[in-house]
Amino acid sequence: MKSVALNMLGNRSDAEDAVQEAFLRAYRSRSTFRQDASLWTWVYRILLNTCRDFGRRRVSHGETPLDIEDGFEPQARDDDHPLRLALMRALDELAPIYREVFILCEVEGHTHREVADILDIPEGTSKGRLFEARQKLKARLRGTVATEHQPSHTLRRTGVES
Amino acid sequence: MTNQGFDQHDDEQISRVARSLHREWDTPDLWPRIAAQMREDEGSTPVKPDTTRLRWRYPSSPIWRLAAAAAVLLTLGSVTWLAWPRVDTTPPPRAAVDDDRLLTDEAVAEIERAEAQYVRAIDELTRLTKPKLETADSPLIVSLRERLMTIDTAIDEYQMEIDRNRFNAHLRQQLLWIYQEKRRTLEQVQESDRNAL
Repeated sequence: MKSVALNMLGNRSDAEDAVQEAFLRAYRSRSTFRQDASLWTWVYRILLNTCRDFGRRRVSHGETPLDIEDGFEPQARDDDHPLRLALMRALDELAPIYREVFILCEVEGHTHREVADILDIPEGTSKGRLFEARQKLKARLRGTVATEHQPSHTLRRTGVES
Repeated sequence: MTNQGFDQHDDEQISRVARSLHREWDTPDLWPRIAAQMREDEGSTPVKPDTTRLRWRYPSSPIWRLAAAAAVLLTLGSVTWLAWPRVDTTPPPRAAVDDDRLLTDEAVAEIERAEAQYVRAIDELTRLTKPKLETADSPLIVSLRERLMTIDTAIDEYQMEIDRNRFNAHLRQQLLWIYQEKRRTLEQVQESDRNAL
């Protein structure tokens, strides 16, 4: 869950706060939990809503800079690093509905069925959004990977649709 | 890396690089912080949670204060409701209580038998999945391991509540359901190899 929040919000501190708030929200509203759903998908759904709220607050308070070092582990400095960086940037520019599906499927390894349960959408919609997300990412990466060494030391996550 | 090189492998490369965006890091204070906040919500512990970061974020928001006041009222209401049957000096026989939220002695015994069955099944599944949970580091296993930790925290919380109020049907039902969730999660761990093939 921390990883999902990190990829949604861009820094560990916010990710931990979002996980904390999500669990508290779940705990406080546990009486509204419907037992025909999975407890885990329900908590995940609350986490994603919390991340969206955090993103909206950021927009209303101005963008928060993300230090690249905060988002990357030291061992990430391998041959993939430029593409990772480009993918993070491209993901950041994706609309939340695509970013969420991409993160859940491709980064976290959830199945479309699980993603559909978490986001409360049909499985086909999850597949469609992932396809769209990939297309958009590919289009963006084609334009940015070649300029991988451009000077940039901060990423900005806005949480708004590009 | 060139654009052409990227085009040739884009789908594969995106998937591979995306998987590397999954991150794990230690946060030893996170769960204690959440548990302390939950206990504070219930008004059952004097332990002060370390929520300084959240407080710092909204130090003067009227909405935040209003929410805090509402939470206090809600907690007081819940505590009063839970305590009421115990302070009633002339309670009717439990079996005759016309309230489906309180269980009879027989129902409690039956639920405890069901719980014991779940615990046995879970213990067996835990034994079978332990090697995989301890050694595998695929994103799926890491995610399931994290899920199990959360479920265990939830089980502990519910058991503490149930120790205070054994006849609360809602709590017993929730605990049974969480046991089911744990069993399902352990089964997912067991099947993870099959899914990966």
